[in-house]
Amino acid sequence: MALFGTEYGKLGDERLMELVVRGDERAFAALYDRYHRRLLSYFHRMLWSDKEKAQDFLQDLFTKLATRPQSYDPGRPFRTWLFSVANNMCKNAYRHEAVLKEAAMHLRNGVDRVEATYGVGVDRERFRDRLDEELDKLDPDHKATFVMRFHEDLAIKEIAAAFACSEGTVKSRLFYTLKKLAERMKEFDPNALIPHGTARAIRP
Amino acid sequence: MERREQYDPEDIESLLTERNYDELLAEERAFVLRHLSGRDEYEQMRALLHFVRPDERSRPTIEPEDRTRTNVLAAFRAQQRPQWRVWLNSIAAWLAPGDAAAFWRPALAFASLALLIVVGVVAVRQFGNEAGVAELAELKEIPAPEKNEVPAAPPAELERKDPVSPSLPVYTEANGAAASASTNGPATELQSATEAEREVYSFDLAEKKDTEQSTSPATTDAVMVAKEDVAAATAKFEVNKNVFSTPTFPGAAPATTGHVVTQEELVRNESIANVPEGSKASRTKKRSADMGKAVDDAIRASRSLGQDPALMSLINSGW
Repeated sequence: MALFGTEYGKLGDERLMELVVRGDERAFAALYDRYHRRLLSYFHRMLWSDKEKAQDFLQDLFTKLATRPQSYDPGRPFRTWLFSVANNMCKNAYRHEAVLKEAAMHLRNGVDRVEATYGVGVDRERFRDRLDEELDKLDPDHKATFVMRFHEDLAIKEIAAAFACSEGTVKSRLFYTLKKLAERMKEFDPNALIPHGTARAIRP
Repeated sequence: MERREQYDPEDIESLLTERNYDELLAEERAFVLRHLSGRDEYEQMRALLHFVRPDERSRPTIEPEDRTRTNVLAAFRAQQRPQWRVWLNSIAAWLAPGDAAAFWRPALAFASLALLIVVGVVAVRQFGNEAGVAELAELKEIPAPEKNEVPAAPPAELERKDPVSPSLPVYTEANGAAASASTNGPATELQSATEAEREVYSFDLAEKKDTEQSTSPATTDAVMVAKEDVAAATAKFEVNKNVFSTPTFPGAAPATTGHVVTQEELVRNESIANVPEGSKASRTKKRSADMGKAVDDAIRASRSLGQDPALMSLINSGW
């Protein structure tokens, strides 16, 4: 391929994976360069904003991809498959650190109560931190659905494929997650939160 | 007729994104109120949704360390390095390429290995038995060497018309080597000679007994003479037997017995050459049959210990 000057950046994900399975290192590097930021952000969001842990998970994910590229199902979109693998890794992390997480939740609840008393003059930074905390309290599937949808900007269809469930299930999860978050964060003034001119069309 | 509801509950996301509560149509508002408590909740959710999306874009991106890229590329290179190992799994994958991943199971690998070992052991044992049997079959097919070959000589000399022929030299143990050099080997010569001599003696005794019964009167003297002859013949046979049982090879030192073979004994010793061809063939055949029987017995005895009922009962009681 290098002989003919193939530009790996222009190849689709699935084509790159074909080359990776054949042992093309540059195709593997191209996939890494294409997805490492998004996956790191996803892990960071899903793993309690722990950057070190997110970095370790990113390395683990691509190491798995390097050692067992045959595990990729060519019939599925690569991006969907990649996020489903990442989501499964996060689920395992939740299981392993369930006790630790529970202890952290208690600690955060105490902090939340203190913050709530100061909640009137909220700014975006504090709202963001609070949103992360509330997301950590959610069920892993609901949290992952929310992050994929609103942070990673995946389509409903892609999320459904990643979770191997119906699109209706994804929409339902999103609705109830949004409803729950709004209820828990209702001390924040909605008028102060809505930035003007930011409404945009969303992907179906 | 009431108009059918156009929205699914989960489609509220699109409403939240596009319109505030006051902008909703009546049927949309009815739909929203079926799932939410009212305006406040709707506006809260809408604010949250509008905040989350642009907020994510305003977040500072996180960059992984350079070592992460180096590490994953090194892992990929290590995986692609040629490995000069042939695994059973790869053989299985070659046999069924469609489901190659299914062969990466330790249990399957161990089972295949065990199966190969068992098949190998059985094949080796089977091949060993066949080779042994084939070898024995060759031995059976090889005709027994003609031990009593007689050098080309005038038939008149070989005929036993005159047992005490003066033309034959006196056979002593000193010159026995020269006499036996004409046959295949000294040991064979001795064995054949012993058997032939036994036949000759038995023939002489029977002849003598017949003569006594037919011609002599039933007197005590005659009986005594006959008994003495029999005893003498038996003693002579024993002496010759002892002498010929000790192998004598050409050039070997003479035996310590110092027995001198007489001309008559020598004639009898060579008498094996006069044995009829049919008798020789029957003896050879008998020897081959005996050898084959012994081989069969050996094969039968060398079969698996599992066929030994005594041993199996011992093992069973032990288990």
